[in-house]
Amino acid sequence: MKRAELLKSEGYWIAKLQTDLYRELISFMERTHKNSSQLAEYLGCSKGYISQLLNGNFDHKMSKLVELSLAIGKAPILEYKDISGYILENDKTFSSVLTSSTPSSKFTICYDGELFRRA
Amino acid sequence: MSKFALRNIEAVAGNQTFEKLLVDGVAPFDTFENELEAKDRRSLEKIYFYMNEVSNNRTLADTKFKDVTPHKEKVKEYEFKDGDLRVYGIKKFGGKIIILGGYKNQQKKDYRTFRSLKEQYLNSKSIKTNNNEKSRTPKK
Repeated sequence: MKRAELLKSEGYWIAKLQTDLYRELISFMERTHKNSSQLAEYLGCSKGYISQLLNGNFDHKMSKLVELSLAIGKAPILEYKDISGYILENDKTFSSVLTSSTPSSKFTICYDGELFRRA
Repeated sequence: MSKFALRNIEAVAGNQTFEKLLVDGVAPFDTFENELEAKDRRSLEKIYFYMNEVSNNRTLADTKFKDVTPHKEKVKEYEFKDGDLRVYGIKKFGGKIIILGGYKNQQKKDYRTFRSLKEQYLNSKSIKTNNNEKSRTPKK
């Protein structure tokens, strides 16, 4: 598969969104010293559902994504970019990674800062 | 004896290089990709995403990427997975070599093929290294 083809594929972006959410949840658990059972209780979800999230398999409604993000103190900022421009930019980033070995790729969703802190 | 070579995986970009193993000019990973059923295409795209993350030294859930090296084995072995798909690779200096891909229901057979190809490849490399060293040793 060519890189441009991959960056245009649904699977790539689904996995990216799932993985980003997975990382935010892991980071939240570390910050708040919660295990998965405590996280389930905190979010009011079943342990099975949490285990699905922690396996990087979130594929539910957008409303659930927003609800989860806010519950862990993050704003789920979604950004839309022109795909051709993104591929071009990604190519440049990769070229600079090869020469400077400092990766800095652009993503279309980020969980920005803590909205509020819980006691 | 089979001839082995490595080719860069173009879809993976990051700090670690990802290459696929070629056996007599053909990459088993390419064969797997080309013969993939349409319904599994998305899973493969997701696996490519995971490869990119590993290439950029980012963490993943171990349900997506894990170390499957048997006890006492020197060269690390890895498995990428999504849905029914599995992709098998090994560690090399500065990255990974993808050896083959397969379906979950053929895992046992695929592990045998994977480990056999790994062994043959590593042996072919050590034979090459030995030959190079011999040719560099001055004759008495």
